Amino acid sequence: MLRRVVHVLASTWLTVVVVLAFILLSVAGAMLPQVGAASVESVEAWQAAHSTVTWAVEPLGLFRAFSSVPFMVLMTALAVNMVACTARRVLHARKARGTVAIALGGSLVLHVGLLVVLAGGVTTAGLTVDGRIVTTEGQAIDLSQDDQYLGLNRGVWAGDSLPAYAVGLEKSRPPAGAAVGSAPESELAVAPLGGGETLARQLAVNHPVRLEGAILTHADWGYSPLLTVVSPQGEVLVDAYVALASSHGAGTGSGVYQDVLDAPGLPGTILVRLYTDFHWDAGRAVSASPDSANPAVELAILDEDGTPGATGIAMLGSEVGVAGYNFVFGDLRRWTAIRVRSDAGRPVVYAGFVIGFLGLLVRYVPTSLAAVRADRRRQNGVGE
Amino acid sequence: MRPIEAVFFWVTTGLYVLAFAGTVLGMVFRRRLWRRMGFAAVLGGLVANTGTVAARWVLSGHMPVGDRYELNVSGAWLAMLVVTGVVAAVPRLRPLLAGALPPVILALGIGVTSPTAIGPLSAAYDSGWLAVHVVFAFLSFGCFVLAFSAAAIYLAEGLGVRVRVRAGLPEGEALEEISYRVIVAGFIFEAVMIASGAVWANDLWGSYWSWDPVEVWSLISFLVYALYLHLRTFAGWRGRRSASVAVLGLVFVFLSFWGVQWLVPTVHDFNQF
Repeated sequence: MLRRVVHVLASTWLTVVVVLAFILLSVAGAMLPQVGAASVESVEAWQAAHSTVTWAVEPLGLFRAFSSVPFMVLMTALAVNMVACTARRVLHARKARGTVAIALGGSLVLHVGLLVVLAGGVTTAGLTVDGRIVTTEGQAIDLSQDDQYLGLNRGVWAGDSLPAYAVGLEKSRPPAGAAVGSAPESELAVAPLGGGETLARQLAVNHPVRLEGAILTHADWGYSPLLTVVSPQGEVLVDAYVALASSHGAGTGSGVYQDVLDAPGLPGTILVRLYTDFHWDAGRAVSASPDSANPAVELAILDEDGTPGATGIAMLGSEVGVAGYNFVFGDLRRWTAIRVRSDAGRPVVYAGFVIGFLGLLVRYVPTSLAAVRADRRRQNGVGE
Repeated sequence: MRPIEAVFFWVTTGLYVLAFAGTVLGMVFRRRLWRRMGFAAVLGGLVANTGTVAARWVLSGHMPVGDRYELNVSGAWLAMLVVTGVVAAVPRLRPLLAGALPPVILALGIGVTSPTAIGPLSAAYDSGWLAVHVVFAFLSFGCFVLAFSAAAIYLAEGLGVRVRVRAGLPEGEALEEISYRVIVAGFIFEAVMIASGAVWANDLWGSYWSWDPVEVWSLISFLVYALYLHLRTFAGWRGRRSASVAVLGLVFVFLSFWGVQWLVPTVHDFNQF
């Protein structure tokens, strides 16, 4: 009975069935909107528009395909199958000789590599801490505090620990010579919370900052105008840097950024629109370039259905009155969103890649070369 | 696209189309001269393709992989390096150009119908892993189109289309064996592509794998070829069954390289940076 179970677990057909099922699940996961990758609202909107498909696939968890129960079952089955196959190969490799032994050995190493990748994936899923912070120039963030993050996710075994550093954004500017409107490079001041020297680090797209056990990557950027709003009674209602939506959030790519501002005492929701290089064009406010050469903020009070009502424009360092309220545009800074991620599985996965790749080479290169040599011998009539 | 690029591009495309026509007509009408002219046209096309890539590189000042046009032109060049290298080394395999050229011409077509204006290289592409990722992606594509061609001709033989003997291709399952060998090479290249992409993604997004649709489809095409290798090695699939999987594999490669970006939103749209 045991032998039969081992035979089934190590069978090629189990591999084929599991991999085929995984392919089907992956196709579904790649075609359906996934919670996490897409916002919950957009997934719900898709589900409402495709109710029949939703009815069929939602019970299978296919809107979270890569953390669903079927996915876990398939990964487990694949791991068991690979362990059983690897064990069987060990037995066969002992008896094999020559090229066959090399190929079996390579196959063994390849499957060990794949198992290491799987183990790394499980470690990532279980131990990763992944969050996002947004910081404006001149501001520092304590990475060890949960409440400093926007959307902090922890793996099931990750515990409470967070990187023990404070990160300050000193300056954020596009690199010298870069096209106007390019993603900025951020100068960070990284201070260990336990004391010690504050380190200067440069963060840019594709150039992460590595801290002990964590990696900081550039996630997004935008502008934060300093707005002071004073009520008709002289009360200061807002006095803060307002982070407008990012360059690829609501920015148009041509130097216009906008967001809404809500605060107690305001006459309604305020649409804040920044023109980085303000000009009038045929009676219309436009940004002549994405560069922050001549910034201005347009403020519009939105009515209940979101239509702009009273509107005013304030240049940097000036003020404008809108519906009796005074809006002061005092300063303009940039903000940077940083992804902070601790992932103990990453080095394991990389080790798996290296082992697996070596296995691939040992498995296939000697046999392929031997086949090519045999072909040549046949063509030359040597092997006839 | 600047005039010099346009000249190189259309000469490339024209010569590849001529090479395809010469190879097919040479097979159908048993004209060795036409097949030779087809191979000469491929060599000329590859030179012109090199010119297209070089011109773009010089004019843009960066490796030409920054947008869909550049990726397809460079991809076609890398794929044709593999295809031409193999058929030049083994002249008996030259008729495989008949099946290998259409996917490459299609890639060029996708490229030229995308915006072709030169733009700055996105910050996301400012990585040493870019070259490794893209080069191995399209080297694997070159292997897979060659495997597709061998498998498709093998299957066509089974359906009674007598092209193999006329073309002088290897006999019987030897043709399918060629498909297997280039799939092995493509499989290794694709593994490097996926692994280097993971390392690059870690620097770019902080995570080596995000289950993004493009990543998932790349994994799917890799798994399809893994299945092919398993079925062939352990389940004894040879001949038509194995060739069918090799043909199917290229469909998945096309979906992962070109299809999925049209179907669903993906973080692999680097114009956002």
